[in-house]
Parts: sequence; C-alpha cells; structure tokens
Amino acid sequence: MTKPAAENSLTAAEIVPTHWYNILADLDGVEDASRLRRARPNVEIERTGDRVLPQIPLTMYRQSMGRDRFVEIPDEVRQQYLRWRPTPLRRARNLERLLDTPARIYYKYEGTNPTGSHKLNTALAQAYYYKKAGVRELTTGTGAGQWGSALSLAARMYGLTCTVYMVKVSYEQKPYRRVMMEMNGASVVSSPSVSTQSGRLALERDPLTEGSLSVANAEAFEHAAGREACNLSVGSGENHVLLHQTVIGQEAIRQLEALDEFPDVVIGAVGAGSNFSGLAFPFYHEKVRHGRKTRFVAVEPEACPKLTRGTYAWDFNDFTGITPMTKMYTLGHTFVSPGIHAGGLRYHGAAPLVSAMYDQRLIEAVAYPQRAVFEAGVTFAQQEWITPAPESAHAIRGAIVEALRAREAGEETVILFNLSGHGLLDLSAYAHYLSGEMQDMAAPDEVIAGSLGRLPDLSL
Amino acid sequence: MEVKAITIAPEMLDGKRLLSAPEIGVDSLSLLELIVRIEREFGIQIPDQDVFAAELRTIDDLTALVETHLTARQHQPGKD
Repeated sequence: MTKPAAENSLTAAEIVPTHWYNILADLDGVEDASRLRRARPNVEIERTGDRVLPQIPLTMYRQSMGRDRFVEIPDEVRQQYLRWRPTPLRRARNLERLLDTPARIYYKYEGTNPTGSHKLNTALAQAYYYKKAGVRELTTGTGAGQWGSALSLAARMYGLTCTVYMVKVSYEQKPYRRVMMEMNGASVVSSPSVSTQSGRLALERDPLTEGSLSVANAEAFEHAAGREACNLSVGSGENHVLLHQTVIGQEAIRQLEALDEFPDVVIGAVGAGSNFSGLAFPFYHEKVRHGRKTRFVAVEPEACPKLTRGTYAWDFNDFTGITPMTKMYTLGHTFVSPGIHAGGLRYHGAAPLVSAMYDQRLIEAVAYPQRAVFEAGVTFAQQEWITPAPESAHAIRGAIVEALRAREAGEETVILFNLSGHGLLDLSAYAHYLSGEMQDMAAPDEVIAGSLGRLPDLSL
Repeated sequence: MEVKAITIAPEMLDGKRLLSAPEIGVDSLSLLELIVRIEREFGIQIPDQDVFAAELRTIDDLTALVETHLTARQHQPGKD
C-alpha cells in the first residue's frame, strides 16, 4: 500500500543531501583495484617542460581515494543543486497498466536541469573545485554531448574557458547539443580532429571513422597538456564523479521512504557508469545496512557490451594510451563502437568501481539491441509523456523486462530506474527509428577480439 | 624529508633532481598520491590552489611547498 505523493510534504532542503555517499566505505576487498591507477612509464605527455602539475585538484583526489562514508557537499555547490533539485521521483502508472504488471515502476528523472541530464551534478562540483584551484580552462571529450553541455554551463558559471572535443558521429547527429555548448561559450571541436596527435592517428587508422569517446578524451588530454592552467575534466568513470552523482540515489531513498517503498531492483544505463552508480550506490549502502535483497542491473547497448562481453583487465582510458591505466571491464581502448544513437554509452570501459562490483557479482549486467531500446523509449514517451534520451531508454527497456518478469511470477516487484535525461535533442534518432530504417548493431566478435588483442602489455 | 612513496634511499635523493626524472617517476597522478602521503605523515592539508600554483620541478620545490605549510601550522595557535 502506498501513500499518494507523500514526498510532497518534504521540503527541497530536506530531500537534497548535504553529503555525497562514498561507496568505498562499504566495499571490503574490492577497493584496491578500484582505487589504483597505473601509469605506463614515459608515455604521459608532460605539460610545461619539467614542471609537474596535478591531474585533478587534491580535494577531488582525496574524495576518490578516501574511505569516509560521507563527504560534505560544499555549500556553494549545494545551493546550485537547489536551483533544480530535488529531481522528481515518479511512478510510471500508465506504463504499469499497459504492461498489465503487478510491479510498481518508479523512475528518478534527471532531465529537469537546463542541460537535460544528470551530468550537471558532477560538472558543477568539478568546476567549483577547479576554479578554487586556480585553473582557468577546462577541456573534455563528450559522446552524445550531455557531458559537454553540462561542463560548458558549469564552466561558464565559474568563469572558466571550456573546450569540448565531441565525438564526430554525435557532432553530426546531435547539432543542437553543440549549439547549447556554444551558447555557454564553449569551443566545440569534432573528434577526431587534425589539431592533435591523437586525432591525426585515429584518422590515419580510419579516415572515415565515426570517432569514439576514447579518441575525444585523448585529444582533450593533449589539449590540456599543451596549455597553462588548463585541465582535463571527465564526466564519468572516475571515483569522484560517481561520488558526486550519489545525490540522485540519496534523494530517491528519501522520496521512496515517504511512500513506504523500497526497490527490489534498481536499474541504470551504463556508459562508464555514473548515472547507474549515482542511483544505485546509495541503495547499495541501504542494502548492506539493512540486509535487503535489492538487485542492481546495469544496462548496456549490444553495440558496446563492455560488461557482458568485455574482460576485466588493466587498460587505458583513451585511444592513444597516454592516460594512466585503470582496472576495468573493457573492450579495449582501441575499440570503436558502431555508431548507435546512444552516443553516451559508446565508451569502451566501465568505471573501476562498477567493474569491481560486477567482478564480485554485486551487480548484474544485460545488453539490449538498439531497436528494442527505442521501442521502449517510444512506449515510455507515449505512456508517461517524457521523451527519454536514448541512453536512458536502455534503463527503460530493463525496467520493462523486469516488469514483465514480475507479471509472469505474479509478484509485486518494486522497480526503480534512472531516467537520466530527456531526448528532446535526440529527436533525429527517434525519426530514424520511426522511419523503420534503424538497424541493430551488435559489436562483431572479431572487432572485440581485435581490440582486446591490443590491451596494454603490463610487462613493458 | 623522507619521501616514502619513492623506493630510493632518502640519502640518495638530491634535492635538485627533477621529480619527473625516470628514477623518481613523479607524474601528474602520482604527484597527488605523493602529496596525500606527505599530508598524512605531517598532519597537514595543502590547499588546492597552492599545489596548482607551485612551480614543482625538483624535489626541493616539493620540499619547499610542504615546509611552507609546516611552518604555517606551527604558527597557528591551537593546532596540533
């Protein structure tokens, strides 16, 4: 029995957390692999002669490596959060009725901020810390453009210059995200470009390449290396990024508590893992604390199946192999995913923390083909009146599968998924689906085998 | 100063040596790990802006950065 809209009795300040949740405090035995980085000797591009500059602000590094369960959110950042948070937690009643399921389907909607996705949660925090550190420019790689949009807005708020390397296929498929970034004063470069060594190498290997986030990241890394007071800021994967996203799950816990609910299954799409982790990690804490049986399901595209078909190994985070290695589920840093519309899920590796948890089977993973994902996205838009981002539609597909499973079993399963962003700037993708011309593009075995064959040799 | 993150005998560390020299091997990432270890060792916390502003090229540069904060801590009453 649920209480209707009881969350409305809570004020925003009561729902929006004052601290981020650090899952490292609750992960015995997996923290080492998820915390370590391995630099390959002599491959890092040094920035300004012999000078050594920190890759990220020390504060963010301490957040990444620390074991404190809760990390205080700077008041200035929390005040920014309060401009649009808490985000809505809603029940998908129309979808439930359509599926004729006894399951109760809830979703946390992260598309209500100006950039339309969850990425702003960490972009604001990072821009805040970089500004305090004295950095004047931020650069990054972006897939579908959600991260680039978020970082460009956050950079503008803190008076920082911003340069975004946007994966070519998305640069062309999603021009309005590029416009959004440019409105915020960012320079947007189609990646691979000829302006960096990494871009030229990728173009040399395949002149017609659609690009990949690992190439875009390599280009941004080079961009930062050649400039004073310029740093690479990343929107997924790193521990501190996942930490910043835990505002999502913490809010959801409070909002569900007000409804006397707790999820049996928590679902999120996985590019590297920040929206999945942002929702799932705080519930993992509750699971550990209260002995719950909640399952966590990471949904990935068949075109980029790093968890379900990748391997758990040390690998680079970028195409060229100039970034430090992390241990992760990976398809190989040279893997280039087929050009699906969910550009945010085309990254070759999963976050170290997500990977370590998957390796320990603390979370599950499934992969779905593109058309099944868009079918779910259209169904959701028709029933719940929100057009989901193609990335988020993966989580919807996962939720529908769980709801149908509940119908078969006759169980009142409580399902929670992360609707990580809206798809209003992805309508060309929906047009493609509705035209009937969209194809499923599972990653070919030989492509995966080839890129896994180029994993770094740790004996070097 | 004893730099525990580096597997070289402290007496062999010449302050003029470059942090980025292959035998020292400090890069943009290991610099963070090194500073955090030093912070723990001495019970200090170096602000982000000081690390970014420091012209860290040699071991002496890093030593000077740490000593500045050790001195500052000693001059703050009530700090242990």
